[in-house]
Amino acid sequence: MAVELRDVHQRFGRKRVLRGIDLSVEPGSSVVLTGANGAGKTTLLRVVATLLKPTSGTGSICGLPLGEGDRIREHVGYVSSRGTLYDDLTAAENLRFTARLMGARSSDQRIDGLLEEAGLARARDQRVRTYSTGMRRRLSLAALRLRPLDLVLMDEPYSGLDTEGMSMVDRMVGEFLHAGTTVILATHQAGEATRLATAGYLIEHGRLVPAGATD
Amino acid sequence: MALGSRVAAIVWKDLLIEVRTKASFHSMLFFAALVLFVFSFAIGPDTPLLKRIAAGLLWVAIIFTGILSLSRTYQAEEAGGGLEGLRMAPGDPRGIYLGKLAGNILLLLAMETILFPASAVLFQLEIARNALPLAGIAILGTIGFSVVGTFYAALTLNLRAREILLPLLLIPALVPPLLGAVNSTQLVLDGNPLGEAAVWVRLMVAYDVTFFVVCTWIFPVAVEE
Repeated sequence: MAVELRDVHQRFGRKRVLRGIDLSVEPGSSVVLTGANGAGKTTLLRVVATLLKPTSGTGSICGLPLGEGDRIREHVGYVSSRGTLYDDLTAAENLRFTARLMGARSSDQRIDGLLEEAGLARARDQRVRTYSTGMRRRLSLAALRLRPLDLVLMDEPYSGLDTEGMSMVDRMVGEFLHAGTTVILATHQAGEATRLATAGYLIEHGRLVPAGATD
Repeated sequence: MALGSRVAAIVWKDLLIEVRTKASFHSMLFFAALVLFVFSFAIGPDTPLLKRIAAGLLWVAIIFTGILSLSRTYQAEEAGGGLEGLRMAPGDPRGIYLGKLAGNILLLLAMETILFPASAVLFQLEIARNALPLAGIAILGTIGFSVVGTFYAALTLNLRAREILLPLLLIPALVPPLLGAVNSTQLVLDGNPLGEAAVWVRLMVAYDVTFFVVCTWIFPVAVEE
């Protein structure tokens, strides 16, 4: 299994955010998580990304126990709803830094190729501070393509994107699936990804409700 | 992936942002100059007294300025969602600490290259003759401060009252290296050979090594959520 969670609970102080999550995701499949704000979508993605240690429960990601975050992150890419960009670096510098951090190839040719695909080639040397929300989102998503991944987690990938940007996300999801990468995305605007999804779940008050296979 | 290349990537990124914005360096420099001026005005034109306490004033200015810089250590990360981006990197999270630590040391040392000559002018100190031993003391003191400071800055990153908590936690922990730095600097400024300050230098070395090992070891726990 790409993701296997059993009875995962997450508390923040007295607030119970996840309540007994059981989730199994097959390798190469695509899962869409929907739910109201504060339902627990981001928390669940952060648990899977090993950024958050669950209060209780067990599981494995890409065949490795949840506790082995250092090794799990070699296989997992995560783009948060805010993205992780540095305002005072250019788009190319942001990608180059992420590549070096992740141990990926960071040649000018590779960086330029990714910026071209994201429609940001002309803004290559502009500081990210000057970017619109949509451009920032595109750049964050482009960073996912820097290295081969077994599991991709996207939190609100359509947020702030125009139609062209949304098509880019859909295209990326399709390409990841074609390459055998598992994709889990949390979104309000399911778009094309819903059609590509092999399973959908609704998160309500920290509980996972299967929305039925959509394939 | 090699820990060294991740550390280098973080240092490159932090220094590039600093060179481009000069956000920390300028504010650090002005603040340090202000502290030195306030002390010298408060004490008055009593040159022998100023010379006697110059080392203490200098290191107080360095520590206060360093705390100002530490609170900005993780600021660039915060804008993009905290340490998440750095923590998503595969491998040992200690690379984050080592990268931030190296950046803090370099920034503080750069500031000290201006602060030491400035205090020599202000307090009429003879530092040119003792440049080498003073540089050694500055490096040891700066490492000690940054090792503990970078760790506590990460520890208090997600706390609401971190601006208060950081100095509250940090200053008591800095008593040994501060004692070592002030006493050894004063001995050297008074014209004594560095050998007379050996006990203070040894204290700083022991502190730097011990806390470097401890802070590096437990850093993953400090940033774990």
